[in-house]
Amino acid sequence: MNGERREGMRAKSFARILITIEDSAGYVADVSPNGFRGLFPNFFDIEKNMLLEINVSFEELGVGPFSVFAKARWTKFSDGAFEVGFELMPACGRAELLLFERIRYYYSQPFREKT
Amino acid sequence: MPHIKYRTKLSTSLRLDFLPDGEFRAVVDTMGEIGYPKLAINADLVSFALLELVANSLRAHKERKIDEPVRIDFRIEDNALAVTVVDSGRGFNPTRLPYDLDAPVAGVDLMSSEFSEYREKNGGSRFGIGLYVAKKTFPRFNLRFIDREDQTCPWYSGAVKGTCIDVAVPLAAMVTEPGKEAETVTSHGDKPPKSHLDSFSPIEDYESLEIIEEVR
Repeated sequence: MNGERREGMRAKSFARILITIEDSAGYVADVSPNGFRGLFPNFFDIEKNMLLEINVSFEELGVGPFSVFAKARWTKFSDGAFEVGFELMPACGRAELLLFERIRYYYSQPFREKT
Repeated sequence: MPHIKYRTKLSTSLRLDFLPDGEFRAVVDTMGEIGYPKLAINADLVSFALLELVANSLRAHKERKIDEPVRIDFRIEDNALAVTVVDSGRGFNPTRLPYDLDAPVAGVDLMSSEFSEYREKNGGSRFGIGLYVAKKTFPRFNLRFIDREDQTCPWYSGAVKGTCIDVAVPLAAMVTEPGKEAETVTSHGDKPPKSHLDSFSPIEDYESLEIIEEVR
């Protein structure tokens, strides 16, 4: 399985995610135009290509809560964390996708200028 | 020698003061600029868990209009990354959390009616997972309420100035064989390797540099 697994990725943002079906909460670790990498503190059973409703909240940015539909494309254990690569599905409403785009924009910004 | 990297500096300790009137983006950016030594637990997860703690503290300061900074101290000690988050947010009533803060985190059900009610009460914008994730992530987690003399006091005492949270995560063990470069040994289990923290021997003594920065 392929995903957005860039070496040296840092947690630059802070969107929280809650997968209600799987009873797991974690974070949006990074976002691409088509999906995102979820990072969780615990393992849970998740079927590849299973359609999931995922709640997203980024309270500090004034975003959320909103739901997106996504499919799990890959999973990976990483030093005690459980990573899942999610692909966003067209079933997401336009407003939700725009909000996710806002999060993606947040992630894509370089660090502020150092003084 | 294990160290913390912050921007261009290396140190065995780092102190950051986050002012509540600053933009949260600055907090995220600043935390993202910290380079940790190799940890036994996923560094991104550690970073998220610490952001949760700082976000909680900053929210308390803003809600109560407290101008004092939220302080976060990082230290390399006893082969672990130890972090202390101290705020002046007047504490909170732990019984209002959707779970028992003193209970083992493994038994917490995020889909329980208590969590649902908590989310509903907060308009769905809070998942109630901040302290949960921190407890789940760090093998060592200790939360206490402090008074103006930094002494521990009960949340109901009326003397609470703020909250002090101590967490620690072991550094990854380094295994070296003759002729080979050092290899990082990490855990891949479901749970953080609790036993590592207790079995590590202290690192060598060396000069401690301290970086102190105020983030607005």
